Amino acid sequence: MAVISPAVPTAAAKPRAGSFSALAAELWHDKAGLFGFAIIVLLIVLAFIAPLITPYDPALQSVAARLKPPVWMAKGSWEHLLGTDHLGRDVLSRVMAGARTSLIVGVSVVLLAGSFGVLVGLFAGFKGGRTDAVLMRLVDIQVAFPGLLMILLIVSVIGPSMTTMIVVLAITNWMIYARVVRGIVLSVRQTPYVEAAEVIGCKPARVIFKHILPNLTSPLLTLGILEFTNIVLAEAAMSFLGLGVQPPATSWGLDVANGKDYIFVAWWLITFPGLSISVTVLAINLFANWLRVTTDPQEREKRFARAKAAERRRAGRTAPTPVEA
Amino acid sequence: MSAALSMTTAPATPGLATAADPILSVRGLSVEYEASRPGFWSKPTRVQALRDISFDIRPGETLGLVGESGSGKTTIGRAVLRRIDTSDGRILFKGQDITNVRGEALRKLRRHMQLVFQDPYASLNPRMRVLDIVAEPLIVHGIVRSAEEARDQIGELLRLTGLPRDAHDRFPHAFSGGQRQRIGIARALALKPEFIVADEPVSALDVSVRAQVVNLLQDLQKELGLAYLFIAHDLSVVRHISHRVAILHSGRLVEIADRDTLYENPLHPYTEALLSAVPVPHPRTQRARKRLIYKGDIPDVAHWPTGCHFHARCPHATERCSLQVPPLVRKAPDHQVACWHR
Amino acid sequence: MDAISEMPLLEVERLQVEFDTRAGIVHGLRGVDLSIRRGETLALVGESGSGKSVTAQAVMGLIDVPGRIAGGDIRWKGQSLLKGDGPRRAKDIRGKEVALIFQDPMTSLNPLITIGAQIGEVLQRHLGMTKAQARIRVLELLEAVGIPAPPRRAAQYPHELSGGMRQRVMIAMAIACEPQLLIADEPTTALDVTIQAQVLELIAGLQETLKLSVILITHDLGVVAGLCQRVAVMYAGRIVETGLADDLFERPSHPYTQGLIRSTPRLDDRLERLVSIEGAPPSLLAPPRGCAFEPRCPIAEARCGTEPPLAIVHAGASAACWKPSQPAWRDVPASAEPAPVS
Repeated sequence: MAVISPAVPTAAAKPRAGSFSALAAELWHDKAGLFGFAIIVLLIVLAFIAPLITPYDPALQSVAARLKPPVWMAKGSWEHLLGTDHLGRDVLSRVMAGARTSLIVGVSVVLLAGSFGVLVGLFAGFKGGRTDAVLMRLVDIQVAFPGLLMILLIVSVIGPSMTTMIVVLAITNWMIYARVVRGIVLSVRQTPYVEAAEVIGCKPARVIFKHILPNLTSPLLTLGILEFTNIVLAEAAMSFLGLGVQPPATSWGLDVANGKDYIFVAWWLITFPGLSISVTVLAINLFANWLRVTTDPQEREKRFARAKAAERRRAGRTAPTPVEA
Repeated sequence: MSAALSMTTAPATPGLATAADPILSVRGLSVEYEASRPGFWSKPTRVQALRDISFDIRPGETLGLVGESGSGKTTIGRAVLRRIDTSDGRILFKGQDITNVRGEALRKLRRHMQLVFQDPYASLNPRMRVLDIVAEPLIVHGIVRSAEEARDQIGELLRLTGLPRDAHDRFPHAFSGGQRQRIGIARALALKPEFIVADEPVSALDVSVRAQVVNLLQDLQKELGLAYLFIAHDLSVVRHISHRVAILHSGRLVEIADRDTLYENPLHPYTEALLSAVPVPHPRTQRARKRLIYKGDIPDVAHWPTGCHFHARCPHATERCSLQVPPLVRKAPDHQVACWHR
Repeated sequence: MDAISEMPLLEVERLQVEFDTRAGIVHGLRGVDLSIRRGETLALVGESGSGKSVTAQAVMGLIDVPGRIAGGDIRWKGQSLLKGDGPRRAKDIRGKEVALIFQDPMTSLNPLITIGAQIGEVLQRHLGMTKAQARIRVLELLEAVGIPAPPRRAAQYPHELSGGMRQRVMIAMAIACEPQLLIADEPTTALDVTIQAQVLELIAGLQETLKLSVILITHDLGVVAGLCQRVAVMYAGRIVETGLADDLFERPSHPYTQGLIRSTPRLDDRLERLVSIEGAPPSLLAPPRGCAFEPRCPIAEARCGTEPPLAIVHAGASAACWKPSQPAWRDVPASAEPAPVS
């Protein structure tokens, strides 16, 4: 009987070892991704410890200190680094507290909408046939239905609150998960190893959870993070319209709404919350892009090769000239 | 023809059982596909992929099933394994009708018939260790409770299929194509099946590795008395491994015979064309061979012609061929052919 | 006149290609020497990863990140395509004087443009033809590659054609500019045997009528035997043996070539067991210092730890082996008497 010499090391075999430090090194090389990651970490930390480190209670009003400009302006003071709003509330404290709202709403909605969407997608993709057709038509109908109208409807019936907002955003945002998951399930079902699992006699539940579901982790991770930015924007928009977070709670969107009347007298009222929204969304997108490339072995390999080629060009090695660019 | 006649008295190869009942009998098998659904409520259009297929496989025997792409050879393999539903005909496994077996009974049947895949890269779950992959059949059939419990048993399987002893705890990507195919074979053997459908098991492998896997399949057959349905498009490999060979053309069997008869005395014009098209890897021999190169393409599954599916390319075709389907007729004890002119 | 015909059309000298991967540098080509004369048909044989396709890509200037040419030279009619103003000259030569056809025609044809327009575009760009001139020439070309009813076919899109027809279209496109060298990278691997025979016949015919030089890249020894005059065998990024086809198949020198030929099942032999080359090709991340085949070679000895040069073994044949022409595989009879094939 044939005896095979120990396996040849393949390209994929090596990088497994010390994958965490390898990942960290790769993130370090991708400056945009690193920036995104740093902002996300900052956001998370802020959200957790905001109540402990905010200089003032974000809802604390002070008539004496109304519309104070940031510290570097002529009339600014060290007491309010980013100034105060029309009710004398500290802008810095409010921005920090707003991070907490964004994170809570974003994470809850992504989890809620994600789990529902994933279940629908899994079911539709695995069952196929008429079940699939019916479920996906439902998805189509909801996608076609104007989201804002739905939000207005629900909020006007139940009344605005943070919980309502989370539920409403989940209801209007689960469809993309269902579509993505169904697509992946359909393609993974075709792979020979899933067929192999069925041929050896695995029950459907085992096929789904052991062989199909693991393929969903990295695309879902990327999708969830990108969706998070949508939710942050949606939350801001809802709060801006007065349908979301209600005072005395804070939110970036709410602050922008409050500040809009003072835009010519106190530009800092809408600038800092607005900037927070933009920077957060940008950071998450940058990080998600890095993550998408990193979880795709082919893309990851390409990124590595491009970096390497650029390094070679910089080093200006005068080895044989490369043929065309 | 004399070779074919001698078949009645003696088996062609020592490994072949003579009088044993077939382990698998297929009678009049037809398969239809749903091609597309014009609307949500309307009935889907159907395409016939296989028509009236009949053959037997005896215990310990290899039936080579040869056909070009779109001929339906993979569909036969899947139908026999009850992976797809048949629209007509019967499939008997060890005398028992399995045509409509479903659910738990079908799952039990998996212990007796297994599948070896074409693509050694895609057929192993990249996230599972070799031990988990090979032990999974034992776990899902309740033979062992965990992969660890089966470690010794799996070790024996790995040895049998020629894998290194330390393969247990490694992941598929650490292995070459040939070794992965061995892992796939070990998984198929875990339940000690009597019958294996091998769907192009070597065509995705490199030339120098093909022989390893072909030899392994032959050794395992001798050792374990397995019966194979060996699906392939490579006639050279099929000649090497099969006891009997069936030629499939556009969803119909056109010829089935024992190996040497088929290769030395083919009757169907399509078989002749197929054999003459295979180049022999020896320049002098190849130059000396007469080649029959028929013009035209293989008919498409959605638009099969009437009559004999080969008539458009066949040099012997007459009007009858384009109107009536020739039945598979026994010309010698172990030689059947479907042609009006033979 | 004589001097010109004697000068090789294409010379590849000590060509090295490397690929940057996260696991390290993969040495795809490790010093390939190759030359082809006018009107000659050369087969480049090897397994996947042996570097045969990379060689073709390098000649065609298709090596891009992550790959790069790390050393050596490619000369067209004696002039370098890599050094000096070679890269600029190369642009005019590639696609016009040297043409390439791929394994999968579907990926290299634009699905949104009719095949007539695609071939016409090549003619307009490379030969400066007008639209009307190109249209006439397209029909001639389709005729030349054996596509029936050219005017109708020219108006069709790639997906409306069968695999064999698409490959014919690719060939028509490749010969549109009357190249002197045609590189065919596994042109028939995706095709069925009967269609493969048609396409090979077409290439052989065109070679004769157009006085083309052809480099045929394949893993299939049968295809080589039918078409090529000279063979170069590649293993692990190097050429291990070259020689005239008749000679090389009759008495292969390198143990790898011997094994390759004897492990390939033939339609016309009755071997009970194939020679099996154990193991797998080495990883090119860290290619072995000595002979790359040494770990799998049954007759390897101490000196195989140093790289053997490609040296002349006998007239017209060279091999990179310290023990050329010694029978390496003893366990199987060299060749059983050939069985008759129809």
